[in-house]
Amino acid sequence: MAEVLVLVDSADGTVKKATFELLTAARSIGEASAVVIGAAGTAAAIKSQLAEYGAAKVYVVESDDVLGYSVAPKAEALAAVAAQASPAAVLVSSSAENKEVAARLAFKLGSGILVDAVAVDGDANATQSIFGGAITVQSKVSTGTPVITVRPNSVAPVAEAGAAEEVAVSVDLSDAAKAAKVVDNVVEAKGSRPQLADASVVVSGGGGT
Amino acid sequence: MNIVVLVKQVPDTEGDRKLDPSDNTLDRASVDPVINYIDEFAIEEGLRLKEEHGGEVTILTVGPERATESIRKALSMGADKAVHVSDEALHGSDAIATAKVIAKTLGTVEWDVAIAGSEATDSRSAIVPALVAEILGAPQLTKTSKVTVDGSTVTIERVTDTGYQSVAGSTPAIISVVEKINDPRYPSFKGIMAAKSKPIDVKSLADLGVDAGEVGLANAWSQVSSFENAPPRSAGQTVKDEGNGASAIADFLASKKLI
Repeated sequence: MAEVLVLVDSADGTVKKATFELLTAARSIGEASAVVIGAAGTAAAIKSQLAEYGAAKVYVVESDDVLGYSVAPKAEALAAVAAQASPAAVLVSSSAENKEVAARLAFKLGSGILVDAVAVDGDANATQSIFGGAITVQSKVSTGTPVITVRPNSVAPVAEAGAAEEVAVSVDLSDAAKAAKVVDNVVEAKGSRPQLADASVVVSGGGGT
Repeated sequence: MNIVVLVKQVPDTEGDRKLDPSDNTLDRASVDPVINYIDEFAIEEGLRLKEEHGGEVTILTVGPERATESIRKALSMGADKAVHVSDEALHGSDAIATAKVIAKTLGTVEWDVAIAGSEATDSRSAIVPALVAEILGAPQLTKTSKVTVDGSTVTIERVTDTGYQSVAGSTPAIISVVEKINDPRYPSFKGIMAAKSKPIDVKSLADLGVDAGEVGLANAWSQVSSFENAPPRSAGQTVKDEGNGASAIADFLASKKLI
């Protein structure tokens, strides 16, 4: 069965819900293969969570180099994994950075990209909701390996045990991948309110007309 | 500094935007066109960099003939000249083809930075600046709330979920801006009048050496198979507040099991 690559989003040893959604969607297309790109030790901390949502394989790219430069290295790492896996599709969640990673990957693969899908079917066809929900679109990639970014909270995550077989992948970054250097990472104090994009329900109020 | 600002003309978000059922592309004629909102911030940033470092601001627009209106508006803010890539063969191009055309066009001008808005209100894909960087192998300095140029080094503050990252690269670099970056100036009357005679260099695909087989609807790497307009919204419930407004809201939220 063909593999479907899922780029994993995690922070501090916790896999984000969006990744579980993608693993679920991936399983309807083929075999789910999680791709972990991060600092050394990232994969070990989260492997069991990925196994819970059906990852048959976990490709691991652990490298400080990848994190030291902005966006482009992740695309190169994913491309290296794709060269090994020959996937039927690549799924990433629609965060600002992931969309850029996905776009650069799509270009490298000579593949079309579908952005911000709210549903993906077993043939990697996507549903997109545009113009504030005014129009619903069915779309598909017509050239290459479909690269699809999926809006968080679109797919109901369904647990299913997976083997999570680890495959280490090393990446030799090109000079072009190192063109934008991360000089500093500044964390700004946040309120305790949940992120809007992660909310399952949004209630808005204001002065109506 | 040679500053290029990427500007897109899009249908006004206030209008009733539609897809053309004959080919499933955006019906650009159905709604009045405007400069893409965030591009005004990109133009402002270009003008600011020119004021600080000297040089010229060139507007680069890929779009149908009608995009000239938006180019003139950008020129009226203070940009010096423009390049307008316009070709019927571009109709229905996907983001990747558009990025290829932009990259090719940048190859025909002197540029130290190309500044774009972070996303267009029509597609909302937010990927063209990253694609241009990929195609050119140029530093991708996107989602920026602050730009600093020191010689040939460009340093930006890139907005993240947790705050920001400082990211640096050498010119020529691709930059995209977010709203936080500045406050776009309004064109002055003098600026509007001056814009009328600023040069707009119109280029076709042939002028750029772009093969029509690389762009357009039929050659796009993704396709819209079908679309459906949402049904008209039914009237919601209107409650007149006669002192009971707050409890009516509370009851409603409770009935939906939200509180």
